[in-house]
Amino acid sequence: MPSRKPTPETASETAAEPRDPLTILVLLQDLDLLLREASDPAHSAEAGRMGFQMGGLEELRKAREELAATLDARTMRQYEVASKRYGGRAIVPIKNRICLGCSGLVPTGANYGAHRILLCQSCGRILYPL
Amino acid sequence: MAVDVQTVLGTFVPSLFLPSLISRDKDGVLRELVGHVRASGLVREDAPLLEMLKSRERLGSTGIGHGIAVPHGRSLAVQHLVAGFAKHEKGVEWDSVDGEKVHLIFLILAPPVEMPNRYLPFLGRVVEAVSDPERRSKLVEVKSFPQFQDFLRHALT
Repeated sequence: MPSRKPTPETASETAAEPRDPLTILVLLQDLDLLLREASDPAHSAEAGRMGFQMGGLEELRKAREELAATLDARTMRQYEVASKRYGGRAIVPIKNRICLGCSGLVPTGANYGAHRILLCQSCGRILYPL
Repeated sequence: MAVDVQTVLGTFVPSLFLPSLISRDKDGVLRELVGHVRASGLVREDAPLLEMLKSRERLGSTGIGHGIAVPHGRSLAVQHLVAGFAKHEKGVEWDSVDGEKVHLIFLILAPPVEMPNRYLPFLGRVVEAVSDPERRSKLVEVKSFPQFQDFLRHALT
């Protein structure tokens, strides 16, 4: 069956679909990056100078914990280990079978695990298909 | 690093020039914008992008006053720095710093890492372009992408 061409109207449908662990991990990494930037005094001062409000840091931290709690312990541990090792970049894109974190080639037969999470065999990062 | 006018112009995507948004509230507008980003082929899925923009609004409103909002952020779903411009005739509540409804929206999206890092300087250039009241009134009258590019060229040169 041909895939339906995405339209602005269908965005709301897909965004409301249940999230798989990889999507949650991507949300988590985006949120961690936002928290890091918001906690950085220089970044925060610059954003404030432009007129952006940044007062909801605690609320965002709470949202981060709630999101993290939806992942199983093993997946969360994989994320945290890779995040610590690679300065917050636990998840990297994979494009044309190349891990864009280390440029390693991902074997053709590499399978997504039970949770649809594929790790780069060279660097151990979690891979996100662009 | 400085971001020159040509870089600013080249970052705005023609298919993300949206002169008449239809959503009635902030979440709806964000969803509508992200839908256009996906329909333009700039991201594979919209959920991460939408959630990231909502998180940014939870941190603090991106409504910078004078009827302008600049929703922005970094996401793994995005491959390179891209921007869009949208208008909402009736205006949308955005919890802006001055309490005014938002009519003009700049959407700015960046990947987690860029080489060179142009994200924050680019944001600064966009804010600079709308800092002058007279220029802002001209932006309201913009009806096409070429007119929008002309506006940026004059505002930033």
